[in-house]
Amino acid sequence: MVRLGSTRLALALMGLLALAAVAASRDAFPAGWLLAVPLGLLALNLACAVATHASFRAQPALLAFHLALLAVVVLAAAGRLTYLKGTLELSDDEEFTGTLNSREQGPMHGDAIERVSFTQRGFVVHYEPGMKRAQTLARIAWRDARGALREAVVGDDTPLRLAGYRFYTTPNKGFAPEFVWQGARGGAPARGTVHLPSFPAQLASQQQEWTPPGGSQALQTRLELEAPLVDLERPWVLRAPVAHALAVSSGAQRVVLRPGESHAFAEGTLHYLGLRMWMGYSVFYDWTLPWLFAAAVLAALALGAHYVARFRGEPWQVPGAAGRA
Amino acid sequence: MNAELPALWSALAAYALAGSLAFAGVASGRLPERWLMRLLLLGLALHAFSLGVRWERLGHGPFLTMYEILSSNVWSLLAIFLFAAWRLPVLRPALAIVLPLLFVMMLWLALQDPRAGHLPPTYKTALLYVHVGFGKVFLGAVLIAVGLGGVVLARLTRRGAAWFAALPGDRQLDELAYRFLALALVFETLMLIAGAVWAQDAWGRYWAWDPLETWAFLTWLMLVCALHVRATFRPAPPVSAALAIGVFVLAFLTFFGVPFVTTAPHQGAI
Repeated sequence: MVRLGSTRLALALMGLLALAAVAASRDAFPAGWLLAVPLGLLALNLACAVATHASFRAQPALLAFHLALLAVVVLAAAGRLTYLKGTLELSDDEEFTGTLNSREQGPMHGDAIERVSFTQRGFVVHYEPGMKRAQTLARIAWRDARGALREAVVGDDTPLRLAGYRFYTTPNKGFAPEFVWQGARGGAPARGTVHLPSFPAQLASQQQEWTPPGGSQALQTRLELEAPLVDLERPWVLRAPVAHALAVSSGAQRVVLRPGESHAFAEGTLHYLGLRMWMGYSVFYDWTLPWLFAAAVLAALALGAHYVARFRGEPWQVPGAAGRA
Repeated sequence: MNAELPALWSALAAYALAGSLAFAGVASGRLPERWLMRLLLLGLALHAFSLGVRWERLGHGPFLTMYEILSSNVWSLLAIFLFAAWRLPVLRPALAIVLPLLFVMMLWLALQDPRAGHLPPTYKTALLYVHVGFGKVFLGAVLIAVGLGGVVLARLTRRGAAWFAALPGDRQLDELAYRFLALALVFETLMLIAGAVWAQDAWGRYWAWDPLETWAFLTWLMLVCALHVRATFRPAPPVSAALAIGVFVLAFLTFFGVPFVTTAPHQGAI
C-alpha cells in the first residue's frame, strides 16, 4: 500500500515529475503549473516523512539535505510568484523610465520597476572574423539613492543591477536614425529615434516603416551604406557608420537625407539629426536567487556529509567474499 | 607540425592496446595489472599533451565542439577510473567492461571535425570550468558504477562468472557501486548548481527547461530514484546494476546526445 511519507510514493511522484519536466520543456505547456503539482506533492510527502520517520532525526546530515530540498521547492515557488522577465530597447543617451516592450511576471510582482531609471551612454560590440559576435560593452549611467551620478560598463554576462533587477545586453541591437518632426499644423516639434531591424542579423533589410507623431501617412526609412560595415575576414567593431544616407519615402515621394538635412512632406517637416545606435536589453527579477543558491549548496554539502558518515569501512574487502554471493 | 593530432592518435592506440590487454587478461585469468595501468597512464599523458597543445593554441578549454567534448571526456573518464583503480585495486578487472564503452566514444571522436569552434563571450568565465569539472567527476563516478554493475551482470553467464571469479561477491561489488553512485549524485547536484549560476549570468535566467537542462534534470532524478530504490528495497545486485546502467545511458545521452541534436544555448549558438 502506498501511504503519505513513504519512499514508494516518493518514487511514483518522481516519475510524475519526470513526465512534467519533459512536458515543461515543450513550449505548448504551461511549465509552472505542470511542475507545481508533482513538486508540491513531493514536498508534502517529504515533509510527512521528515515528521514521522525517526531515521531522519537520527541522521542530521540526511535531515539537513531533505530540509534544504524543501527550502529549494518553497523558494522556487516564491520566485515564480514574484518574478519578472521583460525586454526593452534603448537608443544612445536615452533614459529607461520603467517601460518595457514585453513583460512576463508572477502574480505578486509589484511595480518597483517603474521607479528604476538609467541612461545608456553608448555601446560597442566586437566581432571576430566570420561575423562571430565577441564582447559587448555598454556604458550605463544612473543616479543612486543619494542622487549621486554613477556609471558602469556592462555587457554579456555582466548585468546592470538596480533595485534587485538585472538588465542584460542582448544580441538584439542596431542603428537608430534620430529625427525632429515638425507637424504642418504647428505645435511643438517632436524629437526621437526609429529603431531599424537588428544588425547584423538583418543586414540586408535595414529599413523601417513608421508614422510621425500626429501624422497619418507612414514613412518608409531605409539606411544606405556607402561602404561595407561588416568584415568577414578580420575582427571588426560594430558602430554607427559615418558614410551613410537615409532614403525616406512617403507614397510616391522619395528623398535621400544626410545628417543635418530636412525635407518637407505633406504632413510636416522631417529633420534628420544623425545615426545613433540602439541596444535591446532583457530584464530579470527574482529576489530568491541568493537564497536558492544557499539552499542548493547546503543540500549538496549535507548530502556529501551524510555519505561520508555512512560509508565507513570497506565491505568489498571482506576475506572469502569472492565470486557470486 | 602541430603535435596535437599525432599525440591524440598515439593516445588512442595506447588505450586500444590497454583494452585488448584487459580483455585478454580477464579471459585468461591473469590480468597484467601493472602493465595495464602503465599503458593507460602513457595514453593519458599523450592525450593530456594533445589537449594542452590545443588549449594553448585556441586559448580556451576543450568544451565547445563535439570533438573537444568527446576528447576531454574520454580523457577525464579514463583519468577518474584510473585514479579510482589505483586506490581500489578491486576495480581493475572492470576495465574489461569500461574500456569497450570508451572505445565507442573514441570511435565517435575519430569521426569528428577537429577544427576550432567559436567561443561565445559568455563562456569566458571560471564558472564554466567549475560546471564542467563537476560534470566530469559525476560521469566518471557513474562509469565506475557501470563497470562494477557490468561485472555483476557478466557473472550471470557461465563465462562471465569464470572471468570475474577472483573478484569479491556481487553484494560487495553492489555496495561499492552504490557508493560511486552516491558520489555521482553529490557531483551532479554541484554541476547543476554551478550551471544554474552560470546560466543566470550568461542568459539572464538560471533555469529555463532548455533540452540540455531538462535531460540533466531527468538524469539527476533517475539517479535519485536509483539510490532510493537501492537504499530502501535492497534489490538483487543485477537489478541495482541495471539501474546504474540506466543512469549512465541517460547521462550519456544528456552529455553527448542532446548537444548534438539541439541548437539550445548550451551548444554555444548564441
